[in-house]
Order: sequence, then C-alpha cells, then structure tokens
Amino acid sequence: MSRRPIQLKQWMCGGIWLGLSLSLPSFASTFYQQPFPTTVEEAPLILKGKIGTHYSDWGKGINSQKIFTYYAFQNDETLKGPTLSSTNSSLLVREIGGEKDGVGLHVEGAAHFETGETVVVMVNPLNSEGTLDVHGMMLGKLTIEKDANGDEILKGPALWGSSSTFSLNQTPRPWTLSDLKRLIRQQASATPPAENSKLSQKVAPQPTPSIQPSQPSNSILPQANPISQPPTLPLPLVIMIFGILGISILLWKFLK
Amino acid sequence: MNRKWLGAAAMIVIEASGTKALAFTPLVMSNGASIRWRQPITINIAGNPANSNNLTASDFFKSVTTSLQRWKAASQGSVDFNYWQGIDRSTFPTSGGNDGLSTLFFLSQMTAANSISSSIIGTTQVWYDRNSGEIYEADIILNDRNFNFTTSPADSTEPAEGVVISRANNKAPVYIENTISHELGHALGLSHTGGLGTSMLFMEAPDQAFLSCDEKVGIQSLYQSSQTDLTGAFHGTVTANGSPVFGAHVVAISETRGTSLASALTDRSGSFHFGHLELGNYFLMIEPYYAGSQTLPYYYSSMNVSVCSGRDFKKTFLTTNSDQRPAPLRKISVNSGVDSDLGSIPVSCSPIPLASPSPSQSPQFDMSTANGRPGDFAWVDVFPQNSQNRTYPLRNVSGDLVIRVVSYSLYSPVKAILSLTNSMGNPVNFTYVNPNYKSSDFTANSGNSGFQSFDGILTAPSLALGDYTLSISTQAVSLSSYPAGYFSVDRNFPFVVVFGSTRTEDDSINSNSTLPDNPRCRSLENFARYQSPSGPPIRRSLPGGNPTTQTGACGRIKTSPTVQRDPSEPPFGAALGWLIPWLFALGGLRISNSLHRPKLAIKLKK
Repeated sequence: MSRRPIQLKQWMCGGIWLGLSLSLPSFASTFYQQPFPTTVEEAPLILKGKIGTHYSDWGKGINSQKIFTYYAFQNDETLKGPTLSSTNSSLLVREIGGEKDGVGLHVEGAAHFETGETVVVMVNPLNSEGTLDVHGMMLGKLTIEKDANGDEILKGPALWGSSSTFSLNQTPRPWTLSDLKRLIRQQASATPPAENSKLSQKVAPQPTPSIQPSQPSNSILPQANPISQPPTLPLPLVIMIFGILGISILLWKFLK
Repeated sequence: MNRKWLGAAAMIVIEASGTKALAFTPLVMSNGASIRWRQPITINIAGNPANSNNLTASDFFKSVTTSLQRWKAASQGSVDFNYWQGIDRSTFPTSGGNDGLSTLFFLSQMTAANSISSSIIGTTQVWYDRNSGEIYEADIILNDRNFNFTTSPADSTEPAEGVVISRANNKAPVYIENTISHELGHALGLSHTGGLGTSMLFMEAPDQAFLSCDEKVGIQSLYQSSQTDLTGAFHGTVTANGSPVFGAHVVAISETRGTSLASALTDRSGSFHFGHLELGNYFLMIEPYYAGSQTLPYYYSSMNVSVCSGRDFKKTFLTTNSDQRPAPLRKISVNSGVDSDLGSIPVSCSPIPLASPSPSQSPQFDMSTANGRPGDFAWVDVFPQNSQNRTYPLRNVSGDLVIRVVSYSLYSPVKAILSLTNSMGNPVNFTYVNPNYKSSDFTANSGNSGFQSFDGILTAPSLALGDYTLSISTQAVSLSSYPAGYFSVDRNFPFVVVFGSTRTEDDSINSNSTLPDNPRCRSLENFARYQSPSGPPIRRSLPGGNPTTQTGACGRIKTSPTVQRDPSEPPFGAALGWLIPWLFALGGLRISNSLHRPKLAIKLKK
C-alpha cells in the first residue's frame, strides 16, 4: 500500500472525527474582566451538583493529543439549558490538563474541583465523548457557601463585574444562587439581543448594588460569542465528503 | 528493581524540592514540585503569524522576539531562545498538540478543537515530564477571535484612566505584547501572581508587556542566574495560632524603590523564600491571596481560606499584630549573599472594621536616632471611611525626612495624600509627589500605555529637631484604574502602607540613588533586531520510555514517545479502523452481486 492513500484515508478519518466531534474544550491563562451576566449568558449549560471522583486521560478523537481531567458529576439541578435526561444524572465534567503516562499538561487558569464539593458549573453541551467541557475554565466554576442567614452564596473568579467609581461606604451584596436563577430567567425571557445587548444592564439582577451600570469599560466588551458564531466547514470535512464521493464513484465504476 | 529505586529516589528529591515556596509563584505539579525547563535553557519556538486581526507578519515577529528578549534580559542570561516564523502549517503547526515543538499561534488558525471563552485573551499549554518536572514543550494560543491584537501599548481591555480606545469588528483591542509577555512567563514556568502591576497578574492590564520587579526576581530565582553577588535573600514561616498558614501572600516592599518588589505564596508548611532581591531594606506585609486558589495550580486548591475564623480569609488581611492600629510591618535588611532566616512569623486577622480612633489614640512614632542610625517606621492602616483624614505624631524628628505611601500595588482602592505639620500645627516645607511613576517616562523606545501609579513620596529636608504630625487623607480611586477592576481590590477594607525614615547623607534612600522610583523595575530597552536561525524549528524529544496509549474515534493506538508525528494527522491505526467498515461494505456488495448478478461476479474473478 502506498504512502499517499494512507494519508488520504487519515485525512478522511480526521474529517470524520471533526465532523462528529462536538468537543469544545476551553482553556485559558490570561483573562479579562467580564461582567458576570455576560459569562452566564454565554454559558450553554449551567448545572448545580456534586463533584465525585476524578481521573486524567488522553482525550479522544481530535483531542487525542491533549490530556484532560474527568470529574464525576452528580447533577442535582439544571439551572440553564435543556434538562438532561435521567440517565444523565451522573455525568463526567471534563477540563483540560492533568497527568497521564508520565506526561503532564498544565494550563494555568484551568478549573479544578475537589471531590465532594457542591458547585455550580458552566459547561458546553455534551461532546462526542459524552462528557461536558467546562465553559471558560476557572470562570466556569462557582462554589456554594451558606451564610448565617442560610442564603447560598456563590463564590468564584467569574464573579467579576464592570468597573465603577468605588464608594468606600458601600458594601456590595454577594451573589446568591437565587440571584443566579433570577438572572437566568431574565436572560431567557429577554427579547432577542440587540447589537449591544451584552453591554446592557437590563438583564442584570441587583446582586451588587454598589456597582454602577453603564461603565466606560463596558464599551469595549467583545460581542462575538464563539458558541453562536456561524460554523465554518473545516478542510478535513470537505476532504472527507469528497473522499466518500470519490470512493462511491470508484465503487460504482468498479462494480458496473 | 534498580530502576524502581532510582525512580523512588527521584520522586523524593522532587517532593523535597517542591516544598520550598519561592519569591514568586512557580508552576507546580499536584505535589508542589516545580515545573521548569532543564538548564541550560534554550527555548525553540515556531510562530505562525496568520491571524484575523490584520496584524502583519513583521509586526508579529517583532512583538514576539521583543517579548522573548525581555525575558532573556530579565533572566540575566539564564534563558535563551530561538524563534522561527512562517505560515506553512506543516512546519509551523497550529494544533497545540503534544509533539515536542513549542508553538505560538492565533486561535482563528487552530486546527484542533478551538473553542475558548470570550473572556480569555491567551492561553499557554505547558507540557512536562511527570517524573522530572522538566518542561519540554509550551504552546501559546492568542484569542484573535474575540480580541483585536494591536501594536499600540495604550490598547488594553482595561485601559489606563483617560486613555480612549477604539475597537474594530466589535473586538476589544489588546496590545499584543501584554499577552505574549504574560504567556511566555507561563511557558517559562511562572504561575499567576497576586501583585498588581506585575506581568503575571492573571488579568490583562496596561504595561503588562514590560516585566516587573516580581518577574525579574522570579525568573532569576527559578533558573538561578549567576549574578548573585548583588542580591540577597530571606525566608521564614507564616503561622496563625501556632499552625502554618498555607497560601498566605507575602509581599516584600522595597524601602528603596518605594513599592512592592516581590511577592510569594506560602506552601503547605507555611514557608516562603525570597531570593535574588536587590540589596537594601524591605518591609514584610502578609495578606490573603485575593484572587483565590482558582487562579493557581491545583496544588494550591487546598490553601487555607478559613484562617480568620468566622470571616472570609479573602476579605481581610493578615498582620503580625492584630491589637494595634496601625499594624507595624516587620523590617528586613537584605545583605549581599546572605539568606536570612526570619523564623516563624505569627499573623492574625485584623479586627476589621476598626473603629475610628480619637486623636489621642493615634499611634506615635519615635524617630530619634539610636546608635547613630536614623529612625524609621512602617505600618499598614485601614481607612474604612471615604475621605478620612488621620494624623500620626512623629516624635524627635531631625534632618531629612522621607515618607512613602503604597496603595496602588496592594489592592487598595484609595489614593493617599500626605502632608506634614510641626508641633504648632503649621505646615512645614515639604514636597509630595503623587504619582511617582508614569510609563510615559519610557516612551523613547517602548511607547506609552498611560499606566500610572498612585503611590507617593513626601520629602521634607533639614527639619529641626522636634515633634511633627503626619496627616494622611484618602480619596477613592476609580476602579477602572485597577487591572482587575473592583474584583482586584479589597473594597471593604481599603488600606495604605506607609513607611518613612530620617536619612543621613549616605542613606540608601537618598534621592540620588541609582535606583529610580519605579515600581515596575522597568528600564529602557535597546534590543537588537532578532534574526532567526537557519533551518526548520527544532523539536524536543518527548519524555518517558513507555508508549502512550491514545484513543481515537476509530480505535486505540499506542504511540512511541520518540516518534514525531504531525499532530493534525490522524494515526494510521485509526485510519485503518475507518477503512474496515468500507471493506466490509465492499465485501457484502460483492457477495450480494455474486448471488444476484452472476455475470458481474464472473467478470470480477477475471
């Protein structure tokens, strides 16, 4: 068998992988200040549940050259996105990085979870592996702590907000789980976003009363959402399609 | 058996070496052992300039090589690099896979799965040998999908106050060297830091392109540059109620420079170590790490966040004495070639919020000289009320008095204004400069980001012996001036660090000091134009002797670590797995034909 046909088939296989793969890992290192409502709005799925055991392994398909850490996740409540079926009550949450086969992959800013902790996690839809990629790395994880009043307080790096002239006398109220649910409801019921909808504070709840709306820094927030961008047809997929067509023609001629 | 023993011994060495928290935050494995390149370090990087930002290849080349030269200069020769650039993906891949070739490319060109959050500007994937901790590859990805990388130092997602930026295609403009310098720090083995105004701060910020004191100390400590005769060190252990504090943010404030020079996080044993420090006096301030463990490697995930019982560790700061207000800071003298042991440093949570003191409660500082040495003081004080004015009596002052205030680089959202009066309440002759640093001072070669500090310095010359009163008033600072906005500051308990000294003619804080008032240790850059070496980019061999098992959509294969394979090319085994169903289909078709179309079957046999 010559070298060339192998390469063609490898490309075709790559195309199949790419076409079938819905895995969308997020990884990061340098962050910029993004309002929490924007982070919530961009997250396809937001779940609340408990972290179980974890292990690291190579990814599958197009991610076979990357190491991921897989966390068992007991989904107690779907806060945003389609409700997962009962069979999905126990899921695997995937995050880039880990150690496997004597090799380590470290990505600064990747989310890490502890066994037994209850978290709110922002994830992408189920990928081809049947796992859920954390959306936005460390921004995609929120821990829950109960305060003296019994309110479930959210904590995590994602709870950054827009800049404002700060008043020393004001103490911001922390985000609670109820605030997050209200925000998600508001975003879901909002009219289709206009050009600058992400910059608007209309969808924001009042979790941090001291934060003034319409800050100058907001005007530079990026509008593009990688999830909502129109998909482009990757080259391997095109090659695969043409490959299948070619093989079909060859078979047709061969058998005719 | 021998190999097992050798491996165990190696792991013990790694574990032992990993227990030392350095004067910066290194990348560490889950056991705390450092991840670093093996010396001598020559990092080979293949850059692919293709992007969706209209950034030219020559601009990209200059930005990358300038950033690399900054790190090389900061390391004082310990780190070197080779850089190649091209758009041929077979030579300059854009996949970021584990292939032994360090790469730098844009997200829009990524051939592997390529979705990252729009709040992420850049990322670095650091590949290392688990057994040795040696980094053998680092892949840097720049998010040109959501950000518009430019060559203007003023462009930032959090521009300096007064700087107006414009954006194209709804993308926030970012000075590309801000991101590249930061990511190269990760590639070299540095983690995020907690110091505002540092390049390794996890948030993008103006002036981030230019390495700060913290990075310079960090890279020299990590790779042990040879020029140690001009530096010193100290180490110690932070404890609370007799137990070590894991994750305390220890800040070394340089009396000479008038700002925080380096910072460290304590490890699980509560220990920290500062090395490669400029000679002179330092003040230690110990505080929580505001950004939290999520911005750090997994090792720090169990850092103590409840040391202040009943209060959130992240929203108070630690001092060595909670009963006094203001809390005095410990003074450290760093001498050439000496690694001073500070022993155990007990800390406790400040009783915040503090009640506003009456004038009679104000602490007094005796500035009289002892043994011919000038008197000095250093404290940290909380200003819970806006625009509050406080006074601090200074006793027995004589000669030249220099007082510095640090706020910007320490998460405190206030600008302090200092003034001085004599015992009669009359103002004395003094100058107060605020801010004491602007990046515009360095426009000759590096451009101007507009970054400015709100630290300040008061100088009162030739004071007659007597008592004086220092007054400090605070003003709220727009949080847009801070790299991470309101997240990065302690809004509840803004504070200032004040330290001062009477000085003599030969005192190191003399205004004629060779060290400038420059919190970022920034210097003029005169880098020569870089020329890439001939030939293709050099790959490193992959670690380990065992083949790695990889699972593809079409099956599992084993790949020898020494085999260099194009990461964008699916493995042969997987391709075979893809082909098998087709062969089955073809076979089935032939059988079907032989049953129903005998003529064709005969034809095929021929």
